[in-house]
Amino acid sequence: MRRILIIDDDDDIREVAALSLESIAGWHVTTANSGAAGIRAAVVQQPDAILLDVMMPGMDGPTTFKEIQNTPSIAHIPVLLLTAKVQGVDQRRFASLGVAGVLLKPFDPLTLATQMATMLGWSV
Amino acid sequence: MDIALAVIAPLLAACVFLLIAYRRARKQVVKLSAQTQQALRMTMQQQQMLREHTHAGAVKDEFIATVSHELRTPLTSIRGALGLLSAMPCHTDPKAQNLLRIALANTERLVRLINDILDLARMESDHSSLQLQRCSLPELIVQAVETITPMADAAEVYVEVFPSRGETILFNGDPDRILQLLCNLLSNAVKFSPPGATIRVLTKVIADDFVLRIEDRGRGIPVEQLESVFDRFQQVEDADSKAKGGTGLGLAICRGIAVQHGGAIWAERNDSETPGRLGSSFNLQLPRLTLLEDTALASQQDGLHGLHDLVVEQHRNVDLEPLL
Repeated sequence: MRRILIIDDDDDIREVAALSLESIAGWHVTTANSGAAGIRAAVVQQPDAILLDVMMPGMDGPTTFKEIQNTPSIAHIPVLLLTAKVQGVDQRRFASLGVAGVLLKPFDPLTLATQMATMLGWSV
Repeated sequence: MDIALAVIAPLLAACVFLLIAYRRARKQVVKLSAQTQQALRMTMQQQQMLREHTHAGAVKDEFIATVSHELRTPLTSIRGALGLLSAMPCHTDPKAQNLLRIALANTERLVRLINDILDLARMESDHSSLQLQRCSLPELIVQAVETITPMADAAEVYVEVFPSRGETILFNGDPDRILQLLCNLLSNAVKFSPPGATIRVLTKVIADDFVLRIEDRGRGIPVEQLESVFDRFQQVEDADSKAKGGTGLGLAICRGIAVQHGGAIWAERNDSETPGRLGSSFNLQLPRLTLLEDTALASQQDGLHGLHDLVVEQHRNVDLEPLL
């Protein structure tokens, strides 16, 4: 069973995304409400992938991703960014950071797992 | 005495002349100094205005980014919750299912509206935001047709592409934006064409420009509305917004994109005398890259940061008949 860590400061989005991945794909999902909490959780849980929100207070998504890359025990975990910035220029900027993919808000809960699996190269 | 006077008089005259010349020169220097100071003041004022303008642009960009985030975040929860709820097998009551369908459909409509409003706001806030690169028109048409195919299949409408004769049409543009424009036009054409109809996509080179034309088989646009359909929140009929699911901003966005690229877009009524050719045609005219310009652009691609402010006359009548 795939294990996913969702890092997002919005309680509702965390819940909806977690429910979507659990009920549609059957993945095991844990969540964190900030970049710092997410990094701590990732070190302990060693998830198969991280779904990371871009705009968060304090440590934002790109900064959190940089911290993940600088932490040897979790640097290998693929990260997908989740963003409300839908402009092509923003998406290209995020993709150039080295993340495994960029997902847009609002996402479709019925296809979220499929989108993630495609970006991660996992069989659906 | 006479000798002394003869010596002193020219000296005095020379002194007086020099004094006058000095005073005139001094006046000129003072005047020049004042002009220089005024020019300096004006330069500083212009720099200040430029700083304020740049700051205002940055503030507006920040505002748009914030609004975009603040609107999409609750929509993500709403859309997600409704989507999951509709997929749950517990809702077998047809009335409940219908209510869920209405809520989902209107959420999607709200998402489209927000996207369109933000697109327009971005166009107004920053005209240099295009990511320019060498584009192939045929490739973008193929992408746009592929994108719109599921919608066309559902509406039982066909899309036919008629390529231009001769060399491949290349242009300097933002592929994401042009693709958005093409998809908007094709989407409209599908929405307004009856089942079984064929939409035609035609292209043609005209001197230093190219023209792309999308012909639908809809009811046609009244002549007096051929221009106003590009205004915001304008529909040919008020019921179109609800019936066709549009936001009324798609064509305004298309025109914004065309103008940003130094081009033009306009609508025409199809020839009503010809059976089966009723409907409307939307024409996009953009500057193209000639072979020479393309070679030059390939070597200068990294140095391109802006678009020329070429004003193109709108509503040019372009004859595409040879292609038909």
